[in-house]
Amino acid sequence: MKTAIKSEYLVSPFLVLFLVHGMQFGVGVLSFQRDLAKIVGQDAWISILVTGIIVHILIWMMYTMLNKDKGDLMTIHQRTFGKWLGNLLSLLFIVYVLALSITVLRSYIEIVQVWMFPLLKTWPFALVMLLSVYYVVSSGFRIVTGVCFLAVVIPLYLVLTFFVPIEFSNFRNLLPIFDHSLSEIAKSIKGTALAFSGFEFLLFYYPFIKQPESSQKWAHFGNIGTTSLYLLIMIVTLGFFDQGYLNKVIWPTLMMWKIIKLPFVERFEIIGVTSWGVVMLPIICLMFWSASRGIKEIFKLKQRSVLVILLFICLIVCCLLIDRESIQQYNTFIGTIGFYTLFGYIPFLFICYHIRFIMRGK
Amino acid sequence: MMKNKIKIAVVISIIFSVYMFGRVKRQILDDLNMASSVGYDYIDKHTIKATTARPIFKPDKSIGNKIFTASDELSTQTFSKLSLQSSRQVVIGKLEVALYSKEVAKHGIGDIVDSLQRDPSISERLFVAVAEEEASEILKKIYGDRDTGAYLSMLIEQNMEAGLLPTTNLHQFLNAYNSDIKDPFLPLIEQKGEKVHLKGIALFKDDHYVKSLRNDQQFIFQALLEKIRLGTYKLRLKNKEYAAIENIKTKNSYRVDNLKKMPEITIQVKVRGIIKEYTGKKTNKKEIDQIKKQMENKLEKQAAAMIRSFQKLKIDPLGFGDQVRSRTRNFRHQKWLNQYPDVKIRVKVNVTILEKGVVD
Repeated sequence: MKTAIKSEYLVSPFLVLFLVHGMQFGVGVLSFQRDLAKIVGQDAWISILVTGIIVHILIWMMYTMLNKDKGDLMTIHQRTFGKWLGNLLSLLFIVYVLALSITVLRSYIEIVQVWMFPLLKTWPFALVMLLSVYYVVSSGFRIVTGVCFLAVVIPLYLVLTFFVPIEFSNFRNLLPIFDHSLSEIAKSIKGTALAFSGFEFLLFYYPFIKQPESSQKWAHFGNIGTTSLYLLIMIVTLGFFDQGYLNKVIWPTLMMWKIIKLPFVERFEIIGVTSWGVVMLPIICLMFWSASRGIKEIFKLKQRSVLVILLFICLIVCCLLIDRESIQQYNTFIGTIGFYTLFGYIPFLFICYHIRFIMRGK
Repeated sequence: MMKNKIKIAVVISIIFSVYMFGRVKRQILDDLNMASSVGYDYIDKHTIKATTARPIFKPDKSIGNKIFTASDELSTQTFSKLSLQSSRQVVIGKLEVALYSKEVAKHGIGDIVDSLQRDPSISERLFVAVAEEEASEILKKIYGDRDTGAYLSMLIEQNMEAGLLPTTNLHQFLNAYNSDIKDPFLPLIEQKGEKVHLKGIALFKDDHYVKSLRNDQQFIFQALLEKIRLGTYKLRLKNKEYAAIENIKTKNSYRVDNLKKMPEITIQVKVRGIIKEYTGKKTNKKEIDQIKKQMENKLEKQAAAMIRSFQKLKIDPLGFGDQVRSRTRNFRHQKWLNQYPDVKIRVKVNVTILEKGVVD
């Protein structure tokens, strides 16, 4: 059996709300609208609702496994598939987490480069970001949670900015409702995977929650928050942009910020992009924390030295993705993998785990 | 400890290298040439001429204009050519107005607009307008106490707020321009002597200028397009008298019938206003009824003629297509575009005169 984690490293159950919501509400928010609208047009908000409900079911699945196991992803894998296969699957999952963190970091740097500083080099920015990630992650999970909490609370004012474009919106764009078939809506869910991913890290930090069973409702609340925010942004976007225009725009959320004009700031999107730095940091932190924690569990290595290596890999890959096209390709690829991991692999693991559980019971 | 020393060395070297290589060029406000307006004129099929005006703040507190002109095939390229003439870097982040001459608009502004929608530093609230003659002529002059860019943007904004001009900015233009079924429109600006004024509305088919609306057609155009909160209308009655209706509020509601085969659109426009001036002798109930009836009649006639001309030109600036699309399942763009010239569109105007001032 695993040794229990000391109680001074644990966090309160309600902080799971911020961990789940903070992780989901990341770089995807700036650009998720287009992928959805391409397939389902004005019905994109329905896909958001459907995905939100599916994610609730997935959270429930994860909690059922975790509550029975009292461990994390690594122990679940080991118990379900045996030591070797289990560890291999854990390792693959960690590679996915690492790839996801690269997506997040590179996408953010790209936004800074396109919207603010076209001449900014990738590597110095990534280096500074990863240095702060090292600082946060090496201080332990409680600090990561604290940063997550701040990243939800500080940029909360940005919610208000999504009401400004309503002045120029035409909500007739949303009609007719349900003009797309169920299969089209199902297909569009693939595009939301990247925006909704983030809750799966529960599988890593579950042992760090005080009375983990009681935290389930907070995880659900976190997801409700994410879903309703996405719903608001999606509906405003659909009203603000004509379908033809929306299909052209790469970052619709940033485009909506361009319409905001304050007496002291000509362009609001500069503030928006800068605030997003606060939103990005904990996401990358928790991803690296999870990845390094996983590797530590599997190979019994020191977490900090693992972390340094992972950060280095991330830095190299970030610098290799140079132009819009390669970033786009990489993001689509990771989005697809993310979709299958979240909506395919987690239910699969759930079933396998329970079959194993019943078999062991006999 | 050795390990700690290594750590400190790593951190210092990271900070140092970031400081060395992570810097971007500084842009100091006073050293920039911030264009406040840009105008495009037609030279030949491949070349356009760009003119920018930037405000100069003189020591005696008056404001002047500095004009730069350059021509090139690409509109962004014109800006680097402008830089060649300027002692400071030309930036377009503070752009308030973009003018296209009628000639450029006739040849299509799609290529030029692309630079506006691609550049993240351009505001979505930028006013785009069509100039009746050369855009450079409008920009060269100083009107009022402001620089030309600020003056033109205030001119457009003020009229939008007064309900004399439909809401238009870069975002709304791009929405209509990128739409398959809608066509954009822009305000039309004309220079007369030492003054500029809004002459009407320039209508586009895709990105080509096709037709303009005069000032007197603007009211019904706007009433069909959006809610007017504060409008004015001048009515010429049959008995050669004039009436000015002000503080007009309008509301429109669309009804579409027979969606399956050939859509029929009925638009109900409700106009509520106050009589501000009347050249006739009395404003009793009979007279007011007359004014109301004749105004309804006139607006309906104007609307019918205007819509017919739109259908003939196959342009749809009022978004009839959108009304049909939002009511049709499995909407087919091509089918609608083919149907559009023959679609029956009826306008019914309902005028209510609320008050007539303090005298009878």
